[in-house]
Amino acid sequence: MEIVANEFATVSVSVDDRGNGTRLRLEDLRTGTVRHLDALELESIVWAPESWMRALLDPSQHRWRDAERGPDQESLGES
Amino acid sequence: MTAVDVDHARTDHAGTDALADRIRSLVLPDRVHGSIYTDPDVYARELERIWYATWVYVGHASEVPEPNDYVRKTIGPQQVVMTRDKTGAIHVLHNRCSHRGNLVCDAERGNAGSFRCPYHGWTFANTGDLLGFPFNQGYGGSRARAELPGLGVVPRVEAYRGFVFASLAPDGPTLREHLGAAAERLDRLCRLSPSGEVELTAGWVKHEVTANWKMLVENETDGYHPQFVHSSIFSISGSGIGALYSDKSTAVTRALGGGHTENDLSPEFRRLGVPMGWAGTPEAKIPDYVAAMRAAYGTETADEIMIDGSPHVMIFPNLFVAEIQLFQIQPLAVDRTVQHVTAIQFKGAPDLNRRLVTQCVGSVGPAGMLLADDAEMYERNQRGVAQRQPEWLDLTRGVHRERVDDDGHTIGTATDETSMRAMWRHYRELMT
Repeated sequence: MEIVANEFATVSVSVDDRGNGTRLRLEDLRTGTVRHLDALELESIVWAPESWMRALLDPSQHRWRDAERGPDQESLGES
Repeated sequence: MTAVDVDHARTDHAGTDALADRIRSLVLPDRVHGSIYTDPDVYARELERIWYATWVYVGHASEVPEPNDYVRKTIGPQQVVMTRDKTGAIHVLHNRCSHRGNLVCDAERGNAGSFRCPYHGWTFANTGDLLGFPFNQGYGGSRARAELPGLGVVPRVEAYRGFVFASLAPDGPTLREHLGAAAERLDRLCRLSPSGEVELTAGWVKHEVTANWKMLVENETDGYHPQFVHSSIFSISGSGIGALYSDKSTAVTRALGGGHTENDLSPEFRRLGVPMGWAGTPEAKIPDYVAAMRAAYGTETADEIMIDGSPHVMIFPNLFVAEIQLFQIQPLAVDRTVQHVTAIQFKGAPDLNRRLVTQCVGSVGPAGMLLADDAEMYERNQRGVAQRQPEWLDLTRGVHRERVDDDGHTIGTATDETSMRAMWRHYRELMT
């Protein structure tokens, strides 16, 4: 496991091979929230346009979105 | 948004510039008044006319070597962040959230493509763009992002040989025009590297003194004080540098224009003719460096470079290169100044660099003797000028023997106050 950290976030990164293939395990160490990314998802991130990454960094798009929009609403890329 | 003029000191109620008149009467060709170091109104104008108007040294490109690296820096009392974006371009941003004014970056350095303010989560790209904020319905949705400001971007940022300067003024002379002849001194420094590049990677010491910033600027190229103030470190280290600051020396004090000044010791180093003599380091102790220099430049040119040595130059108002160490001067108040100090490192010269760090630990490290000597003088001087009599500080040393060199620069002997007179002339132009 490796830690990727700066003053704004701290995330642990490890390769998880418990399944039938390998995947990346990311954990936000400040909250314990975990996301797994498989190879195709990682490749897609590598190829994603810069505007997509900028949109991802908008706090209102995920963790701090307004409650009335609903917890399951996919919001990235729209207002 | 409408700019608000906060420079209350600029004009009085009658519309005349009483402070400018006063400064003209306090800064004369042969003397300055003690209050120029202690008057808060003068200091406020210095911020507006010098620190927030001219080119100020901010940092070195080698401090942000990788995309998305950043370092916290200063422009006088202003906190800024120097960033390198994904494309490699360097930016200087005000370290102030556009929402409630909190400091956005706290770490001295790091790697981040975006910064998130810890107060309410407003998030900015390392170019200053606002990327978003939590719960955007409070602003009518994400479209508000385009209407709201990002981080303040310092309007002009330019680099010379990796030395990054910034100006808070959107217009004015170019950096190259500002540096003038001082640029060649940075060339002289860089050519001491076999790859032609300096790196500021040795870490920093921050040394705060209770003194006005101009005391430091004047002292940096005052060749009159070393034999007195620094006699102990010269005697302990066996350094021959002290003897070069005497009336028998062929070294000169030079006014480079634009308030920039230097003590040019190279005539003495050439007379002695010893490669690396200026650094007090025999060739035999740094064989890899000497070999790399001769491979890069050819033996004859390399030896000339290694004999001439490193510059001792004060680039107004805040960058001082003192042969092996670099100082960044930061005023915090009329009587508080921080010197940020580091050992200069030459790219491709690991054996020399190790010695330079060791030497700098002895001279300007936390227990270093050279900086402590000067700091004691700065603080005594600040207390001294607060006394009522005599009111003036004398600047006449060597005025009768000044001359002009082949490049048109005014020069004096190694111990003359040519540099101070030149600095004050430039200061007076800027301030009035």
